[in-house]
Amino acid sequence: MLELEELHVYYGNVHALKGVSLKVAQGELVVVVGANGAGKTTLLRTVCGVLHPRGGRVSWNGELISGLAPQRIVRRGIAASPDNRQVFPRMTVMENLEMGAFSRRDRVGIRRDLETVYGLFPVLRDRRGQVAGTLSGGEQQMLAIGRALMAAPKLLLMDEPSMGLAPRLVTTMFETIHRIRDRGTGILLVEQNARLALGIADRGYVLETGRVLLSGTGDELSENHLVRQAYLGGE
Amino acid sequence: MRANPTGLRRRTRAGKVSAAGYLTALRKGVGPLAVLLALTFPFLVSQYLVHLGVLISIYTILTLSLNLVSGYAGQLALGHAAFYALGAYASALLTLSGHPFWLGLLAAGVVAALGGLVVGLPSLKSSGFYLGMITLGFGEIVKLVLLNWDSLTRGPMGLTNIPPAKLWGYTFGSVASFYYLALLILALTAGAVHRLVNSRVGEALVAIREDEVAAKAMGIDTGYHKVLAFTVSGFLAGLAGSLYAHYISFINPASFGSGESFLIVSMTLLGGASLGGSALGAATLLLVPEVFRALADYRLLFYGAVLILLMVFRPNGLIPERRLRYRGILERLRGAEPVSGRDSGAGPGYRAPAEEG
Repeated sequence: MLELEELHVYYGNVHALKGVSLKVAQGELVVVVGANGAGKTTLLRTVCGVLHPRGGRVSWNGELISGLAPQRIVRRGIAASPDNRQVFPRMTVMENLEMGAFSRRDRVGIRRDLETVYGLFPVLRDRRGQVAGTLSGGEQQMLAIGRALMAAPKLLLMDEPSMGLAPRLVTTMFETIHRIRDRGTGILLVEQNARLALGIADRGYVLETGRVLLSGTGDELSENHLVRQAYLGGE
Repeated sequence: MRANPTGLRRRTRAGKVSAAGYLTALRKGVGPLAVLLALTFPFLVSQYLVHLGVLISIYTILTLSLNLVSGYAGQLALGHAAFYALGAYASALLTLSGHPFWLGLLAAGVVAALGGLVVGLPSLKSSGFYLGMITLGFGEIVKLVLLNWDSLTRGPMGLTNIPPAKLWGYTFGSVASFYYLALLILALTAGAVHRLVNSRVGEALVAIREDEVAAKAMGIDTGYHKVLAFTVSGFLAGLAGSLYAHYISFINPASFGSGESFLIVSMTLLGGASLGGSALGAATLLLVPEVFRALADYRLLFYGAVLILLMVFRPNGLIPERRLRYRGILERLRGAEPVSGRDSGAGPGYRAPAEEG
């Protein structure tokens, strides 16, 4: 279980997260919605160890992980699919996926997970020999997620998986995310597309200028009039 | 390379080899031929050419070592002559004070590796041109220390009468015998580099070069791997320095300036990441000035022109590394059949639907 307690994160003097507390239970799909600049990406970067909090703590299954280097956090079972689709552009799709399994040595498991990823994203199998830099934006997004899954994470961090996707693909993407959760992987998903994200979420948080404004189950939040007004186009 | 992934396998039913097949066969033949030529070299040509062969071997070691840092890990390093110098001075000073050559050679590697460690540490915090400046600065500092630490290095006068290399009672006194010693060290270096870049370390280095942030997200300890690359690279360059010192028997700080660093960078860029490329890069830049000697004052003009033309027409080096300088994890783990998407002979479960249909 991932637990964030009273997290304070700064960029220089800018106070980006002002005491955020949040939980992701094992196998749970938790969505964080919020406008640009609310601190969503900061939150994920802090969890995966790229940023270190000035106050508060991040713990994972009871162990304090805030302050650990990113590679140590990955080895503990938390993998991230970065926001700007940081695939390795000159490696093939296959090589990218294999890089995702860098910290593992169980060949059988790696091959099984490769099949799983190809099952989730069939287009990656078709393009496995293609250089990742030449994939479309949506395909790169899928590759970034697939690569994160190759680490066999217990918790997957996803930053705006719908960004830049064609509307039809966005729906497919959220269905796939739901399937990933159904396979037992916990997911912490940060998303601007609140309607779709809350639709598949077990629980959700609304982040506003570095603070948690609201939290509840996905349905509760979807019904909440504040959320409807601010993020779902109101009524 | 990507255009013809299957290479030799492309045979027609009648057993005829296609044009692409011939080309690959020719490429395959070049390697053994080059080795044969390298081994019989001293028997075939004049002593002057063998002398150039020694220098080419030494510079190939330098090129291979820089390749680890710049080619694989993608870190801009402009002070490689510093490690070369550290190795040369360490080995020369030790043997001049009566220690055996093998100890000098080893110490050359170790001292230069420590230098590599020191230069590698800033790479944790900076990259690109900033790291380039730092390494350039390190190169100048080493040179200045060698110039000014008179009591140890005899300053600009340099170290003279460095004893010849001697192993197991045999003295590598002649040019030809030293050529074989240099070739042996080169072979060991090439073997070590080959093993390293085809290991997990190599994968990590390539990932760092391609995208450092993403590499971290893959669970790669990027800092450790960068410092490791610098350290190993320093060690190998130190060996080259020791060879140079005992071959020429005279060294001074002027032999290891920034011009030397840039020469090594040029050789690396020119040759490409492979062993053959490194050797060819070193050979080209050492031989071109010799070939154009007849042009006297215009020699360097032609040298520059050759460099520019090669970079325009062969931007990835004369012999680029064939694979993307990367071996897949699945492929590497023993017993796994090749599953690379580029390989049409992939295992049964790995065919794209298009191929099955």
